[in-house]
Amino acid sequence: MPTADSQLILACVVVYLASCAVVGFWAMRRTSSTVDFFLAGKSLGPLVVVMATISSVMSGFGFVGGPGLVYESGTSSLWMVFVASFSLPVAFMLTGKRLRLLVEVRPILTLPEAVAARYGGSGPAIAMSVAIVLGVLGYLGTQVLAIGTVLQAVLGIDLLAALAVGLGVLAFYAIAGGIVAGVYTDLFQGLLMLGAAVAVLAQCLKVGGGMSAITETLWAMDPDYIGPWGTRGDLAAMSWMLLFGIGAAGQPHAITKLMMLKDIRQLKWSALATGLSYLVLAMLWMGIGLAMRTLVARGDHPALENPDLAAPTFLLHYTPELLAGIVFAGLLAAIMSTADSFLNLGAAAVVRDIPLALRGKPLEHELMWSRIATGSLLLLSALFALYMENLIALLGTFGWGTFAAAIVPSICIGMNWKRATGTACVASIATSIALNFVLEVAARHGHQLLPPGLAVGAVALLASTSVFVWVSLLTPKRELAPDMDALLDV
Amino acid sequence: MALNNAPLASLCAVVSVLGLGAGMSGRAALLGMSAVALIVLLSAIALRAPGRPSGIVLAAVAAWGAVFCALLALGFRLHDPAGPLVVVGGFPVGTAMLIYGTTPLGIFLGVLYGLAFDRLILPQDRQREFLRRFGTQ
Repeated sequence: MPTADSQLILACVVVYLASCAVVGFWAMRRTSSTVDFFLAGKSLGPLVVVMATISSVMSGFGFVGGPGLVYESGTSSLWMVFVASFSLPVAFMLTGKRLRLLVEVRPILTLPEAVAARYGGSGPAIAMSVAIVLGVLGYLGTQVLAIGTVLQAVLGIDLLAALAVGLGVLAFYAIAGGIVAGVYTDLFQGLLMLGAAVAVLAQCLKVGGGMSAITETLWAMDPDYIGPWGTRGDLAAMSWMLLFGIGAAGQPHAITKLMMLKDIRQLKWSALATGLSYLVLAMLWMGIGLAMRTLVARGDHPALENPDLAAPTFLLHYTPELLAGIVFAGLLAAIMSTADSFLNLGAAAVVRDIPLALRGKPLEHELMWSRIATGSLLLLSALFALYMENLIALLGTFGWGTFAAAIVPSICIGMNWKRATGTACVASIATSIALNFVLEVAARHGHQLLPPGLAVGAVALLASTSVFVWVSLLTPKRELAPDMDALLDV
Repeated sequence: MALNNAPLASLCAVVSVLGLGAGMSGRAALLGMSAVALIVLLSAIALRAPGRPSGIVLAAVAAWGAVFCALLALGFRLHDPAGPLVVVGGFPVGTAMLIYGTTPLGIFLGVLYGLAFDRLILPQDRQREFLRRFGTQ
């Protein structure tokens, strides 16, 4: 990553880090129970939920990996982001009403607890906790590494020192303020980035000489690059549309935010607002990637060593300093927000879900243990990121697909279909983990078991959905508790 | 009145198998159509409600799926890398289908959710009755 030597960019990042610490301190005073720590006391307004949802879904991948993918393969990856116009509303449709009502009638804080309430027994909750912990470890490791890399570039210090600064701030606000701190920094960051995304897109069009000029340059370079499927081809584009269009409903860091709404009726227009807001952020994804590739194709900028350098290079060389500073701070905020969401999910799985499934009751002093688990997970993921980078890269790619394939059938379909069974839930989650892991490992060792372009996560999602329905129809139906039976009819 | 979503869930399984077959045999257009069909079926499962007429909303979701599939098909048909560049709204015509067609079309589902929320998705009387019977907090 190129190094920022601008005082203005440095100031933006330092102001952001300081404001995180202030929000963490404020949130600590509002966090007195595990309901506060994991569900923000179910007290959030719609604007906070919308911003927290898009911020946690976008993550560092959206601001660095996304433009990099566009730079490398053109429009292919737009099928990941532009589907947000319907994928996030569909996530609200499938999960919002029932998850939010469920937390009104049962003392539920997490998705594995919702699964336990829906299916009964300990198997489904344990299976869901395992899927969440595996996904969380991968996602957290990649976010931790990204925090270090961005701070290293902005502050001009080595990776260990950058990690110490970034994780120190993250640890303070995640441990002290739990999810309350996370969602309120998301609100600040989300609003800032919505404005910045529009400004960056305008800058991209200006630098490229307008969209038609960009298209003419890129078409002359390779018509497929700017065609509807990009250079990765139509199979990749369609499998990404499937995986991201449906899989958004299976991302725990997004759908647990819906359980935090103060008033369930605020779901009404939040679905549309979330989809639209994410689309605006996607402009940054598309604009930077296309503009940077245009500059390289015209010979105005040397080819990049690594596609992931597209965003930092464009920001440092082709945008006004203040805008670059805001986007760098927003980038750091997006990474830290996603890391905070995953720390929260991981801590909940370790401290609450697994003990509840195994012992039938939560730990004593649960809030204290939640804070200890949050700190331990952060430390563990930092060690993983530093010393087991290959494992982190594997788990990082496997995160979205595993969540999608594990959660879409068991929560999205299961919460809307009474015939669904616990056995089917366990079978579909096992299918998700096994297929994602085996296919990813095989691909990394040069064994292509799938046609070129077909996304592993899409295959796992289709397989686990099919397994879930067939196993449900073939296994005995279990009587639902009266409240759950009524919930599925509301 | 209890709700039976078994036929729609079974259709989800059938479409998933179809999508798997399409993907494994490299048929991108069929995989895309399967994805849209699955989104329509999942939305229908979520939007159906016992004792409330959901026909118009379900028809709207089905129409959305049909238009989305038509735009995908147009994208496949209009993109000709060997032909001359035809620009619509700054993009090649096939890509313009994605940017100006499928993307805004997606917003329709969010609008539909908002419009149907009070009458179909969560009428206030249903919410009050449920919380009266089971609410603890």
